[in-house]
Formats: sequence, structure tokens, C-alpha cells
Amino acid sequence: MKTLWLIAEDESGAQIFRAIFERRFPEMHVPYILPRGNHPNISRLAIDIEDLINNIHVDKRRKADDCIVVLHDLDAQRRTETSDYDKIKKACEKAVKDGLKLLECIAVDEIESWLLADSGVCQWLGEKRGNYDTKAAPKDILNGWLKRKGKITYYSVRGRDEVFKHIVGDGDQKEYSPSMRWAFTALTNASCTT
Amino acid sequence: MLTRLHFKNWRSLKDVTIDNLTPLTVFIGANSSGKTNIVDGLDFMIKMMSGDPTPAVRANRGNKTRTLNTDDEDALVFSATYLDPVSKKHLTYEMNLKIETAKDLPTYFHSHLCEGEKRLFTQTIDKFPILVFGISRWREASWADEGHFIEGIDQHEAEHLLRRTKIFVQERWQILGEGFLPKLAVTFAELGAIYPIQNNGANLVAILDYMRDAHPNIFTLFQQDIAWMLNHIEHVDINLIKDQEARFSIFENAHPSIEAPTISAGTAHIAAMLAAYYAFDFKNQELPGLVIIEEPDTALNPGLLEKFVELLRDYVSDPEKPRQFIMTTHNPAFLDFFQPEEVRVVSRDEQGYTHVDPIPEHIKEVWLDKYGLGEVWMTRAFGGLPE
Repeated sequence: MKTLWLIAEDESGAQIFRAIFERRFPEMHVPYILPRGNHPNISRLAIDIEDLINNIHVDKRRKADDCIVVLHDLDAQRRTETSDYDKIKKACEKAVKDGLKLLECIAVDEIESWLLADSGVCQWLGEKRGNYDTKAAPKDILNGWLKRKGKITYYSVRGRDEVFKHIVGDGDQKEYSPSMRWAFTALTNASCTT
Repeated sequence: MLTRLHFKNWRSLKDVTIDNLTPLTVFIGANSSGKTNIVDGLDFMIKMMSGDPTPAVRANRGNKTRTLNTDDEDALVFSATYLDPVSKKHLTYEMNLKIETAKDLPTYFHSHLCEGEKRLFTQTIDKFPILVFGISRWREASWADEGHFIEGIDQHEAEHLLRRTKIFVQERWQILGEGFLPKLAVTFAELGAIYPIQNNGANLVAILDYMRDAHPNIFTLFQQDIAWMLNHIEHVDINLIKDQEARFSIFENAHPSIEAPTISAGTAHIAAMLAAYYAFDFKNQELPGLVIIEEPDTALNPGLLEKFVELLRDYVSDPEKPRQFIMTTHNPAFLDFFQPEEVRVVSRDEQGYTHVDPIPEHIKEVWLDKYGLGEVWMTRAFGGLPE
């Protein structure tokens, strides 16, 4: 079985990416690792990124054709400074220079925009899917949709699990999420998926 | 010291070998990954060691015993390898068991003792009593087979090795199982045995009462350790109340002459774990001793964990008294105080079978000069977390 090794900024991001990816590439295995701490986030990812990449780099289970994805949100609408993002970018570029098959996938503006573009999720919620990459706080939009649907909040593990069940993984079509389209175009041509 | 375990067809352990056990070994894994099955497997071995597997089989009825998708012809295999401190030899005791599941009865039991590959002793029982409405009807006399030593070996030495192995497994393995919570005040009728500690810790007071009277020097060490662990304690004791009740009592620094009115669950846990360790010294203290503890960190404040592990390290460092602890945990703060080689990751595959793996070598080089093992555990870098 081919493997895509995922490094994500937090648990829910990892689970969304994995759920979408596994719909698209069901024969692939997607183990993921996260920054340290009970509540990992972009700052912690920036601190740990080199260790996380190195951890996968030296893992004896990794095969030559396996890919590594570093996934995080762009957060352009709410971030006040870019040093964490720059540090992650630099570490990814260095890893690629060192010969690792690594792809930095940046969800715009949050990975939840990929869910707002997903036919399965939108159909289940009775909402119109679209391109939410440019909108602020897609997490809050999704949470609003969930509240309309019933007494579920996206800010709970149970709520998120419920959403993940309905993922189809088609949000990268042309008129929907450009950031997802960029990521999956790159992944479709990557050595681990071909 | 126990160095290797092998289980086959035992519950979720379809074919599991656990090698290179260390004086302190910690099993981590998601809920239902199979950690307790390992502990229960050790308990099953103790019970079978008498040569009569029937009570152990009947206590683990039906599907509680064997791996799913196996049948009565598939033998359950349990094997333990240890370093005998007297002969300095690695000895393996293996037990093979077949069960008629419908009747919860053993149909075949074979055990043997090996030194490396060389077999020293073997015992086979293939006829067992039939139980009809609780009444045993003996089939044939092979029930009484006590085994034989292999020809051509030094029989005198083999007898000693077998005897010590049986003592090691039967008498020198103590288990504190899931959710153990010792009763701290018991009537004399409830006291229970003075050794070994019961799975739920229920005979703690009996052990300590005996320790205080028969081995006061050991009891003093026990008192010192518990007072070191818990700074607020001045001393502990066993109080006998009106010749009817025995009670574990603590006296705190704040009021050293007055018995504390209550004792916390954490204190009771610590007392049980330390008592199990010190009880090895009641006799044959030169023989190895193994304490198996499920979730020793339960009810312990995170600030106590380092002290607790330090105490265990002290306990296992005496070459004259080889001691060993096997533990399970879900607590990253506890794991922080262990080395990767002391930890095994328990997981289940898609078929539901348990696997036990060491922590990958690279974890040490990538992370551990900066961070604790428990902290790294939560990154998912080496498994042992729910999906």
C-alpha cells in the first residue's frame, strides 16, 4: 500500500484532509502527525516543523515513492504577522531541496472552505456549495449551517465527526475551492499517487 | 527477570511476541487495543502453572479465552522466557492448551521447559475429568501426569531449574489489575492471604499487618517510602480495632498523634503498589519478582509521577534482588519518565488482532533531547492513540 505522510497543524485539519484524500485515493494509507501539545496550532507547527519533517524523513517505514504533505491554513483574514507561516514555508523548501517528496498544501483561508465546496457536505446540510476561499472564517460559516440543520456545533468533536461522514471530496472542481484544486492537482501528479 | 513473552490464539493476541523486556516496561495503546489481554494472559499463565488448566479455563469461559476465528483444534500458546539469577541461564516455559469451547474444558495441555533450544522437561495431559452438573467424573489417570525430564540432560540441575521456574511464575508474579482499589479497613474474617497481593488489592491490610509483625525492618522501609512519596505523611501503621477490625492508618505531619480521618484513593494505590514490591522480601528474596500493574498512575497527581518512577527505578536496581515492573498507561505525563526502549506500543489491525511494537529508533534521535516521550506520543509519531 502506498503512503502519504501528513503533517497537519491540528487534529481536525488532519482529519478533513485525510477524509477527502481517502475518498479520492482509497487505496492509499494516510498516517498523520501533529505538533506537540494538547491544542496544536500554527505557532506550534512552526516550532516543530523541522522535527516533524525529520521524523518522517528518518522513519524506516517510509518508502522512496511515498509523499509528505505539510498542511495548514493560510489564515490571511485574521493573522497579524507572518513569521510562523514563513518559517514553515522555509522548512518545506529546505526539505524539498534535500530531496524529500514534500508538498506544502495551504488551505485558503481555512481548510473548512474545502468542506463548504463539497457536494456531500452541502447536500446533507441543504446549503449551496461554492467558492469560500476568499471569505473570512469558513469555520464559522460551517458552524452556522450546522446550527440551522440542528443542534450540532462544528466546535465539538461529535459535530465534526458528523460532518466528516458526508464528505465526498469533490470541492476542487473549477468553480469551487481553488486552494483545494491546487493541492489535489499537485497530489494527483505526485509520485505516491501515480 | 522476564525477557520475552509469546502469546498465540489468546483473545486478541493471535500471534504476539514481546521481546527485550526491561526491568521497567510500560505498555501504551488505545482503549481495547489489547493491553489488558496481555496482563490477563500473564494471570492465566500463573493459574495454569499448577499443571491443572481447568480452573483457569472455566474462569475465562467461551470467547473470553481464544482468538476469534480459531477453533478447538487451534492450541493456545503461552510462553515466558526469563533470566534465572541463580544459574544465569535463559529459561523458557511454554504452555500449549486446547479447549473444547462448548464445555469450557481443556482437552489437551502440554508444557515444557527449555534452556535456549534445549528441552529439559516436558509434561502432556490429554485426558481431563468430565464435569457433569459440577461433579467431576475422572476419565483416565493421565490427568495425574507430572511430566518427565528429557533423557541425557543433567537431571539434578534440571529439577532445580524447573522448581525455580515454577516458583518464579506461580509465586513471584503479582498482579494489580484494572481499577484496583484496596479496602483499607477490613474485619478479621475479610483479611485474606498475606501473600501475594490480590488482583484488586483487597488483601493489602493483611499483607501490611503481617509485614509489620513478622518483618518489621521491611515495614520500616515501606513506611519510609510512602512518607517520601507523600510529603504530608508522618507515618503509616496498621491499627487493630477491638480485635475485630484491621485498618490501614496514616498520621500526617500536621497532627502526628491523631489518625487521619480519611485516606485518599491515590494513597491507597501507592500503598498497594509498594506493598506488592516489599512482599517479595517475605521469603526467597534472591529470586526474581515481577509486579504487573494496570494504570499505576490512576489517582496520582502528575506532580508525583516522577517520584514514583524514581522509586521504581530504585527498586529494580538492586542486583541481589532482581525485581521488575510491567505496567500499562494512558497517561503521557507518566510516559515522560521512561526511555523508548522501556515502552511497547499496543495496537489492533483491521482484523482486530493485537500487535505489540517497540518505539521506532528514530524517535529518540529526532525528539528526545528536547522533549519528553509522553509529549512526543501525542504528536502521533509512534502510534498508541485512537484513530
